[in-house]
Amino acid sequence: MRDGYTYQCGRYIHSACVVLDGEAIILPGESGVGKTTLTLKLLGAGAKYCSDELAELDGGLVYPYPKPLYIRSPKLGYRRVFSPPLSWVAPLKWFRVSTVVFPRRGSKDRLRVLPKPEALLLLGGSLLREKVSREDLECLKQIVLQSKTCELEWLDPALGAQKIIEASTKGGG
Amino acid sequence: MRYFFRFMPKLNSNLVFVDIENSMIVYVPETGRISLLNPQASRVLSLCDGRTPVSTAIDMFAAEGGVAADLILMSYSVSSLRKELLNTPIRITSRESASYNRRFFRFFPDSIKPCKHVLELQSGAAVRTYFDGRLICTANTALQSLRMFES
Repeated sequence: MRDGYTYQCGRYIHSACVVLDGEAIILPGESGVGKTTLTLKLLGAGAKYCSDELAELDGGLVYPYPKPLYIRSPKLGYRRVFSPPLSWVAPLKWFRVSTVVFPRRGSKDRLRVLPKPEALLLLGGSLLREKVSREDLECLKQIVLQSKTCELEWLDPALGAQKIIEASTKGGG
Repeated sequence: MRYFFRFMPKLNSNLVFVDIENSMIVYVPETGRISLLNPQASRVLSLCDGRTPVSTAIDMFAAEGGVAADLILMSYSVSSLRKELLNTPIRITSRESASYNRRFFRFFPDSIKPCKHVLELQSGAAVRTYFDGRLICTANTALQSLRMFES
């Protein structure tokens, strides 16, 4: 497990990440949108764990940042919910990003394809950088263009995770 | 108001632009904001080169097939973006804004008037464009982005 947040030396986004069939699915978003909850369900469905908080990006690839999963609860505060066994964790190497899903809590479970410009805008908003350079945006653009980009409104995390898996395994951009 | 039409807006050189599928992402380092501009708004910015007066830019934009809403967007976004995107800030008072609004409606071609565009202009602030009571999506996307630049 890597310790601490050392995002000064890399290009990190605020995002959960899992690996399915050798390709990465990233779930960028603010705290509270359900990154960790969906990650747990995806792990249950056979995905390998990369991170529930940070994803390091470079050239269309993502590097795992495995750490124990934490959930912020209004009553209990920020608490650890799960430490995945090493066999559940993706190997520490670069993975090609195949799917970018922007989760948000809603009143139903539905997935919609997100236009690439909107996806780039949202991904840019997840970048953990004080100053964003053209290279940063070009890197995100490459990821957006090579991936399927979707927005997931979820109510039931199991259904949400299932929709993410369907989106990542379906053909087309 | 004449001053506004003669004004030749020029973009702040610190901005970072990235093209993607006919749209443009713009990053403003001073504020850390990232915005998405639709094709119309992207074209607006490309005309802010410091050599093209607003009046000429409006004509060019119209000649390229911009619709009424985009004409207004063109002219108004220049003022909307003035604080962060332009090198030389321009200032429009509420009185000028109201006058500008009236003038624009007067100069609408008859072919466009039946579209029932209604524009809410406030002094250099929010701009909403309606079509039969519904927000126009194409123009509105850009307008939403442009509004993000308002302080």
